[in-house]
Amino acid sequence: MILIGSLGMGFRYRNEFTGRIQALRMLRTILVLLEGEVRYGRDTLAECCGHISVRMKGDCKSAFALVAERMRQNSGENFESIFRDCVEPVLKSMPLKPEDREEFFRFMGSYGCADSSLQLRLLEQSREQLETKAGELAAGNNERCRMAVSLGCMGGLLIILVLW
Amino acid sequence: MENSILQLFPAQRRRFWTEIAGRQKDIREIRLRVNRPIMINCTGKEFYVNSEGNPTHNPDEARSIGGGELEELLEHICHYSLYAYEEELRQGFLTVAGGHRIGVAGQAVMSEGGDIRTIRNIRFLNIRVAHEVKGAADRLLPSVYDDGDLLNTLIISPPGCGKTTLLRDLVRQVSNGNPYGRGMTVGVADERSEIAGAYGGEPQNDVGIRTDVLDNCPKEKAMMLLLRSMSPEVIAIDELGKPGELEALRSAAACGCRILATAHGNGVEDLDTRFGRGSYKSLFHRIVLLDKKKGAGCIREVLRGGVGSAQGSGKLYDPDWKFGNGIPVSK
Repeated sequence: MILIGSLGMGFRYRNEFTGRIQALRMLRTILVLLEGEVRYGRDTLAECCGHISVRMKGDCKSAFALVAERMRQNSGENFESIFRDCVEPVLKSMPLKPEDREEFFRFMGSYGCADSSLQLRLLEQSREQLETKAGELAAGNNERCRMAVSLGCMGGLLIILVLW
Repeated sequence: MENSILQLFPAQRRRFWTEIAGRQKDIREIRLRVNRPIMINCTGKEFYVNSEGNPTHNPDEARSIGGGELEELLEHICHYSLYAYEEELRQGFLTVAGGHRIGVAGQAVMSEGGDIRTIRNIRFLNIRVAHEVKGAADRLLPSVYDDGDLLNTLIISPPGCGKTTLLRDLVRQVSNGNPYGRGMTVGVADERSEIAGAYGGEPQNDVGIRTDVLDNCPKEKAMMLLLRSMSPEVIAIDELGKPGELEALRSAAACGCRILATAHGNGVEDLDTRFGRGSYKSLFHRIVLLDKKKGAGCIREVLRGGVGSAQGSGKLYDPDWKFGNGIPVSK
């Protein structure tokens, strides 16, 4: 039981490492889609959210659709508060760190850019940061995953030996 | 439509604007200038707004608007995506839901070619409230039809006399059909979104059931595009101003399209100066002159083929007026 439990812990950490990389890549994909909508459609950020929700799955799809819907209702709330309100709970359910989420939200800081190239640059900056982070994590991920499982296994054996 | 003025403002300012927005029917313009009193133009009369959001005629009680508040308002109007309205800002106005137009002024940023690249430090906003007057063209209809055939018509007037309002209703009635003619397919080349007041491509004003609108596209190109793609029976444009546009209209007429157009001016003399004496007169069968002498929106005269004398006038929009009494057309 102890061995299975500790092995489970090891696998959990392994999944967390891999999951964070996958989640970062998903955020990158979202930013790429937003860039495309801004660059070629000249759509507002709310319209972009509506358009990209069609191409997404699961909780993200409904969260982005909700952003578009709430902006359409025009209750007077600003985009940033609506976006955070709808998207942050979904991001919190992913194996992301707070700094990853803030990096993703950074593009909203200057939605007042009157110039589309400036707005695009902001999106690109956030995307590049997330890409770099995902790249760094992916580089040592195999070793980390193996280590997590091995440590779990050895930790379990150690506890068994101590209890023996 | 009812709250479309209130919806222009962010949530934290809506309480202040509720009273003013409630007068949407009568409001013509809301003028916002940084560190200057908020001014409202209501059916030709001007008043200020006090700190409670109520109208006042006392300038000492008038509330001013700060730079931050104006920027916040602009961001809200642009859905927090100013970049998406780059082209509109370059032209100096935005069209918003409800068909209202927001004029902007500040510091122009010029490109190397000498064109306006964008406007920054926007410090002046003019919210022009859209007003549709259904029935505005009732009185004119008998004059622009000849035995069921629509005639090429040019409406000339100085600014603020209701020429766009008249054209919009004319388009609607021509498109839907009216007692003088069947419904016709109308193509509207709406460069400044003034006729249809399109927002997100969707007309906010009723321009009729057989009307196709090409919004935000230069008129010359829009007319050719509409001709090729939508095969309209009638082409409508607002503010005919360049010789190229006149040529495009001529091409459209040569393709068998009927023309409805407006132009700025006090009379045919102004257009003679702009386009050359009589160069446009061969194109139009009816020239409608408007003025403000009897209040905004009055038809001064209707000329046949552009040659004639002053005859027949009447209020453009007259709720008591009945079909059958057209304005006499001058010879």
